[in-house]
Amino acid sequence: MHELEIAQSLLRTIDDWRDQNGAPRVLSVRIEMGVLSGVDPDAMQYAWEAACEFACGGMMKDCKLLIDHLPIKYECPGCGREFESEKLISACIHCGKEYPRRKGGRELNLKSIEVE
Amino acid sequence: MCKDCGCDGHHHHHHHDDGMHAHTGADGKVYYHSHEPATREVPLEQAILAKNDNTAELNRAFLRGRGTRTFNLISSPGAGKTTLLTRTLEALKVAGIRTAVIVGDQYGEIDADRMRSTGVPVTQIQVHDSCHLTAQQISEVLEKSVPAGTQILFIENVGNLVCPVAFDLGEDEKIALLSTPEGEEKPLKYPGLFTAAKLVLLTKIDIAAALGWDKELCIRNVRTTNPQAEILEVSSKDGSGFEAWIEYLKNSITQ
Repeated sequence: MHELEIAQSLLRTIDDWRDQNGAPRVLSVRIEMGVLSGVDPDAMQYAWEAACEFACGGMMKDCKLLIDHLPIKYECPGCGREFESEKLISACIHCGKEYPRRKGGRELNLKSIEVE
Repeated sequence: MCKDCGCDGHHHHHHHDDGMHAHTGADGKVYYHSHEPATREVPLEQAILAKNDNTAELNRAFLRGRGTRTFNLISSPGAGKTTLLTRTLEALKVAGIRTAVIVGDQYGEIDADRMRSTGVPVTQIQVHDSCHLTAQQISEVLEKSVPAGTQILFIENVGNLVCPVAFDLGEDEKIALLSTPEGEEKPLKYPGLFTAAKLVLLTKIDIAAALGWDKELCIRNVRTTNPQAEILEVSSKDGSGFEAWIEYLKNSITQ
């Protein structure tokens, strides 16, 4: 439900950058989202297209949103190994010890933009 | 140099209308390449919600400067945030602890009016068509909402298990409320909130038996999602578990 707000926040950041960098056309925007970020990728695409329609005097129309999905990283206090998972797990995949320590998963970052 | 495509021009070439660019090489063959504008990738590594996060840090600095411990309460609508807070404010008053509340709802002052009956300063934010509080909204009311000497600030977020989690408000910790009528599965279905919460309050515990609510299952689901979360059961109606909850709050301000 807040994907539009996120799209608008992204556009403001990009617009600020364009103002300071000669306002080139932006062809694509790359973001990364963790499993626990609370953002739905389909809703994000839809909100992005809607937000871009009229943003920056039409200069952002057709700008693609590229989404990198980040897995959740875990570290097991039992065997000491690190591993990744697409969903929450309650036991280490290597040694089976309960409740490995979760690292990250909530990322919601702007990585880069592709400009002319 | 060819002024149109920038090649060194040492060979014959011409530009087609379709953007294809033809060269006749030294071997007499004709070579084509497409003539798209060059693009470059610009790294812009930053959180998308950096603006909210920055404002949240300013809020955090203000509150810490005031010596105020701040909790952000998040739950489904109807899980019992306001009822819990009303009873909590009374209990803390008796214990001589000064509190304040900022509450977010779409419209009206209903929750604020309920809590004002305790005599504690309560500020209502109406978010209208939005679904969560933002750091900016908190920032706009912060100074007038939190009198000097306030020891605990409760922020009652808009009833919503999803969106509020992404928006740091400047709190010290998030508290998730989960009521017995909601069942036991929510921690698995809404991991965003339950992984972010330091404390999970299981509310309406007085009707657990009537609902056939499975306490062990619920706790197991919370632990699967967040092994480090503290879990307390309370009933704002009959007061069960309230002593431990008030103790939790008292300990938070003596650290």
